[in-house]
Amino acid sequence: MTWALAGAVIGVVASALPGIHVNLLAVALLAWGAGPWGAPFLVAALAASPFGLALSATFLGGPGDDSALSSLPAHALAREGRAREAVALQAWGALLGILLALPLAFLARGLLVPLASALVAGMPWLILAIVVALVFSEPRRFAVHPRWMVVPWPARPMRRRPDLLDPYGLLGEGDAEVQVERVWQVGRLSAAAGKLAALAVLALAGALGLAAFRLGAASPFGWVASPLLPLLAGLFALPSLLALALAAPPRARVAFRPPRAHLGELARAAWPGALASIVLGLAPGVSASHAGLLARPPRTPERALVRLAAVNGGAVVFTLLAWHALGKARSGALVAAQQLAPVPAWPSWAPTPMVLHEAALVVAAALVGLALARGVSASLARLPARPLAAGGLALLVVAVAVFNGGVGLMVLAAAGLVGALPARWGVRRSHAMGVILVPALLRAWGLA
Amino acid sequence: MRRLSTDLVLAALALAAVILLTILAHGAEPPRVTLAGAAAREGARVEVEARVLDVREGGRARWMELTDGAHLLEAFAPPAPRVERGDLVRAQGIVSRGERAMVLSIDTLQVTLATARVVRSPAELAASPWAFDGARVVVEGEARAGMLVGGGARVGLRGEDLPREGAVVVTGVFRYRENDASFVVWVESWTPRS
Repeated sequence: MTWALAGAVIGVVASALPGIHVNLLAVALLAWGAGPWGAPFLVAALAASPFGLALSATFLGGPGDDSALSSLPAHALAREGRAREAVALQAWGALLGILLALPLAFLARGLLVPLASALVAGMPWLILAIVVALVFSEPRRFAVHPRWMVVPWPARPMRRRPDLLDPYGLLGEGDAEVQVERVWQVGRLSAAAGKLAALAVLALAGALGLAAFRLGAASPFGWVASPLLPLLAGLFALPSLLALALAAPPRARVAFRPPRAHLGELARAAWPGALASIVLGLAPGVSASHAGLLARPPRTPERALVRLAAVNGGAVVFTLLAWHALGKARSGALVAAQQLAPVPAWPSWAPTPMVLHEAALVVAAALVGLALARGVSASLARLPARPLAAGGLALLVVAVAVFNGGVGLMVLAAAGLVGALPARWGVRRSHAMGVILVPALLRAWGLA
Repeated sequence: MRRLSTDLVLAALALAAVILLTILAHGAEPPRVTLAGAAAREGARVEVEARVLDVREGGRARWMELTDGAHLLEAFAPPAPRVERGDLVRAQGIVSRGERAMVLSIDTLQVTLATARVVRSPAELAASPWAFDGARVVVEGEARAGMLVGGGARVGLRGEDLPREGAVVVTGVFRYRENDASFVVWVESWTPRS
């Protein structure tokens, strides 16, 4: 249990830092020649990782795959000076995701084997459905229709035709000075234009993903590298951190105490996330971000945070379920764990004592993660926002340089430009998830 | 109007950056490494040259096992071009961590030496029979009592149209049974050696 608690603490720290991941811990443990204690250490680190992701999503804009979506509302709250609240909501969401997913996992055990093969066969359609739903659910309506409007313009008159332009004399008698202006207004094509902009962001992010995945990643120091670091850091973290570093200081940063949320309200926001995370246990190649897109979009950023964090929490449980019931290690940490100690099997409906022990370990690690994330967020929230954002930016750039080298920095810059587009166009930033979805879609259909 | 032009400039810059990266990605040649070297470069794009030890066709992708004689590497490849066991291939792709071991996700695959185009001797097949299991092979040797003999080794011949005794070139599918270490060629066609 001591190793498991240590794993939980290290798991939070590793997930909070850009470029470091629990999988990297696993590689380090294997290289170090860890004993059987390494398995519970890694399982606990995996269980505590959603709490580290909450910190990274809030203070660094979420440069990791699992926190990319939750970084959007989290960073928005951080910019309002509500970073502590954002972390608390995500931490509670992750804990509830784990707690709600545990009974679901026990129920789903029997269905897992037949459902898994069916879902693997249907993966291309599932990803296509996610992409189509993402674009068609874009609510932005662009002003696309021009219309001529008469406006008073006393300083610089352009036309003096009050009889035609002001037939009711609203602008006064005689020599009212008016100007005809062309304004763009919302019309029939506005919704379509919004979806077109969403599609453009998705396609551009997808093309960026295809190019970056083809380039691969190689650390100048020979460390384990992934092209996802510069991609997601550029798309999600870089624009948010830049905006925060350049913006006026947020209000009430020090004095703000998060409001006490009701458990029932949190659970109502969390359960669709926990439910969506089932997909992670069933299908290979599905990340928490995919599952997050499957969860019903919530109405407020607070609920969105809880729901997306619950997906990350549920992902831990269903990844472990696939490991025990199907023998599939869908995380680098579990690949390493099974090399350090035998995998506790779960052959029938009834959970074995080993599985129950592991469930208790996961809950304990999650509680450690919750306490740690909330404590760290309280300290970080006291720091001034702009230097913190500048420090986060510097940390990202250094992490990308160390893990991905010069090519990674180029990818980071390109991703930063693409990541700035949704905010400029006013469409949802989640369309930038095309960076993962489009390559996955093309691969699933055998086109890439 | 000023905001619109800023947006357009930003979009143009983003598009240019993506195009530039795409050109770079398709222009840059990845380093050629051994299979052991590839397994140690998680996340990197590499080129390997190896023999196909096993192929399993899926719906839209193929699973392959590659060997260079010293190491094995699992790989996922696109459905084209057609690859058979025993083929020598040159593959480019990204190394990632799979469920059991490192996996090469191949994006560019080229068959450098198709198995059936090379005339082999029974001794070559007997030296590493697992490497040719399931591959179509062309073998040259002496047909003798249902066996093909050559280079100090012998391979069993099976099929409906077995060659007459004497020097022949046989085309067929090579099969290796690991449990009793037996190997045979299922003959599809044969010709006397000129």
